[in-house]
Amino acid sequence: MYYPEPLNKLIIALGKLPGVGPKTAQRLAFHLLNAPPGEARDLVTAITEARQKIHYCSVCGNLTDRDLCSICSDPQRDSSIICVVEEARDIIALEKTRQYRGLYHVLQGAISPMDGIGPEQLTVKELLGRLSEREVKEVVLATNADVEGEATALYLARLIAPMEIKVTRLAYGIPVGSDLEYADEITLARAFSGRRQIK
Amino acid sequence: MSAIELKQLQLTNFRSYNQLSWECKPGLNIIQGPNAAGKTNLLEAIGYLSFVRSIRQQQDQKIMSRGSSFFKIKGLCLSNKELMELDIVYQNNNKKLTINRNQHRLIDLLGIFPVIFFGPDDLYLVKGSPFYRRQYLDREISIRDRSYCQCLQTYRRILLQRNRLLREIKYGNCKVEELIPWNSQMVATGIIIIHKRRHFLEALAPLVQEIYAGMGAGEYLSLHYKPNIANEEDWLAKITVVERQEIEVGMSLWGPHRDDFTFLLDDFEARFFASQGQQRSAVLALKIAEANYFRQTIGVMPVLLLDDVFSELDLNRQSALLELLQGAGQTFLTTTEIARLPQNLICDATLWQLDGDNSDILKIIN
Ligand SMILES: [Zn+2]
Repeated sequence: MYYPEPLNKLIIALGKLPGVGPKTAQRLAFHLLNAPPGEARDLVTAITEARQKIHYCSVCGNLTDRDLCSICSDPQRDSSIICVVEEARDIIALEKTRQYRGLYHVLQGAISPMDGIGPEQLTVKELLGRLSEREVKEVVLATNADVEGEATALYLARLIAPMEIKVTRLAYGIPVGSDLEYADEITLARAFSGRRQIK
Repeated sequence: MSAIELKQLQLTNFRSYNQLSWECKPGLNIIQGPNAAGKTNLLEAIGYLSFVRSIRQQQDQKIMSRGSSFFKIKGLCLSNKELMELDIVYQNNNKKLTINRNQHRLIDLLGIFPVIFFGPDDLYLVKGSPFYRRQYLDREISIRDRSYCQCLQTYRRILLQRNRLLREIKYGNCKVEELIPWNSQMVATGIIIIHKRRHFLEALAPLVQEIYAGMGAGEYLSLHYKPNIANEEDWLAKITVVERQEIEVGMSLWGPHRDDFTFLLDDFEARFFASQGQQRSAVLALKIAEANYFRQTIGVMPVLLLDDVFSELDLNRQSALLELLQGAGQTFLTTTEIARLPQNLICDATLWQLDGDNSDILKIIN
């Protein structure tokens, strides 16, 4: 293109964001150039700070700016129940239902041989560690309803079975093949009350 | 009996049609034209509105007119007295479906505009490899039963993952016990597919038999499902036995992806022992049975697409087909020469002429 190099670089960088095509990247870049200087600076600071300060919770894998995330450090939460999810963003979807008062565990993905992801690429060991250390009575497997999420749930259920902990699976109402993130709150709330035990 | 009717078809860059707008008629539409004038392409476009894919099993890339970057099919349908606009656009390896201008998932189209296609290549249903028959089953059950289609997609995904895992285990990158969650999912999903296929074929079998008998050929035709694995227990038992072999070849060896069904003529497999004429009768009986089955179960008369089928049929088979057409809803029939069709067929039909040179133009000639 015929833009000055710095502008060109900005457009290319913005274009790498998910869901942003070349035209949108161009529009965003021009917006940032024409906006008051403070706006662009605030954005830069926000990005830098988020990158520096946000990391995974050392216990559950949720996103946090401290060592423990806000859920793990909340004494009101029921530590006898752990809900296992694929991604940190699934926690937000589940928290919105206000149905669940237990803790979480983020696997950072799901089993998928085609993508080279097996149990060892996930935080399965960390989960087993938590289960053996603490008084956990129930594990809720809330992986996605697609075949990878189901395979992950089945795999975990088999691993946990000898530990004499109740294992349930979120199932009711989630359309097959859909991501947890897209399920609406009512569906998820219903899914919680209808969770079934799996062997 | 409610019927479904195509009122208007608009094509852009679809095979030989760069631009076409066609107001078709209820009842029988006979399309006459020389070879390669685009008759079958027209039926293919109508079929596309039913299955969101080519009824001739062609890749979408090949359907686009030469030199264009997209194709578009728009159909205006009358269903239960309601007008419905179906739009399919293919571009950049991507299909978009809109129904009444609202965007939908492709699977939403299943069953909305049911058609039955019958062309010369359907002979492969009898004489071809099991692949054709599985494809037939999947297509025909899917348009009646959306959950079957979802099961099928899930099953294919499981197979892909499981086959990949088998290869990874072979090369020592994964452990054998990682197969367990895929085994149980494969069986759970596969059993549903087997069950639905059996149900469909068992319902179809007596109809096929009766229609074939009505053609006066004298032999006895029966239809049999040949599932690769019969039930859940057998399957689970099989998996443990063949596991090592599966790892060796890196493929799932048992399941409905290896199913078949067979036509028996007096206890002999029609695929190997029937004459060309008998095979043709068997396919015709299957297609007519399917149309009747559709009427019985769904209460909708599907649109019939008959691609140059009369020329190959003897008088007995012609009259069986004529009988079907008498009770049929909307039908599209192609032929190279109207004069070669049975006379009583033509009198109530709307006739169309397709020119070989300029396939964009269709005109009524009666
Ligand atoms: Zn935490």
